[in-house]
Amino acid sequence: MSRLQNPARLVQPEYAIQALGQFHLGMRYTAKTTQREPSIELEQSGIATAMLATASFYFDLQETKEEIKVIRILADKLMIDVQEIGDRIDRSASGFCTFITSLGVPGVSLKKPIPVTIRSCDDGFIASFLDANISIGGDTLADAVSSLQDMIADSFNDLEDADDSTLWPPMLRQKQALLDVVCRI
Amino acid sequence: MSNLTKDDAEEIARKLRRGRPTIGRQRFEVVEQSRGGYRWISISYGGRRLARYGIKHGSRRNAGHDWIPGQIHLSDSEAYDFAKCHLSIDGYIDILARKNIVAARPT
Repeated sequence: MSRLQNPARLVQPEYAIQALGQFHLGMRYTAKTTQREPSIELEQSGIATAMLATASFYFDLQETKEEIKVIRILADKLMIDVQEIGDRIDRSASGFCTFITSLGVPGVSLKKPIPVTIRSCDDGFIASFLDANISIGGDTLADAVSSLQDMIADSFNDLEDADDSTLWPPMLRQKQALLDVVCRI
Repeated sequence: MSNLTKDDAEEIARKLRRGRPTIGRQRFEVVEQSRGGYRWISISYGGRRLARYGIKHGSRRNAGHDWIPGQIHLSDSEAYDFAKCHLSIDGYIDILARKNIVAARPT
């Protein structure tokens, strides 16, 4: 209310300027807003206080509306963040272990089922045969497992006949782990 | 932030292929093969095979490749640093040597 007492300070909102401008013109006074608020017509007697009160009311109302808009935007953002955090928790908690019993590649076969660890990541799944330190990702769970089967077969073909002296310890361990579970047919 | 993207995976391969360690150390040899939906990167050091990893064909540049650090014997953050040039070729060899994976100066 106090900010409306001095017209010189009323730079905005526009409705407040209009209300005071019409007050100075006299006779009949109209307080209007430019924000689709209802117009209010007042008689000359005691008009100043009522006019200022009306302008103040709309001024506060406008501020409140702006604040509500900001709160709504923040609430929407918060909802999206919460959803994303929930999705991340779901994904990170969804690792599991299973077995594969075949490689699906001609010429090689598994001697026994091998344990495969599958976990989700940002945009897909990662399948791992931990004994051999072989891991690969895929867009879908089936894609990841299929790629792991290919990689196991491929690594076996690559390492089966490799001389041990040409392998650093991790690759040697991989070769031994693969020879334990993969064979030619 | 330490998630590896396809771009990072490509950068690691490029760095291993082109990187020159200090005198007295050998360079990495990198062999690339395309098979299935992946490009397979085989890495050798000092004439011995060290690691192998796959880069997905056709995936987005920022698609996650979080399986790669373990395949090249680095932690997530080390692999990220390696891709972003915070870790040098010499630094990579030092880490491998510290983990007793390779000899620092193979004969």
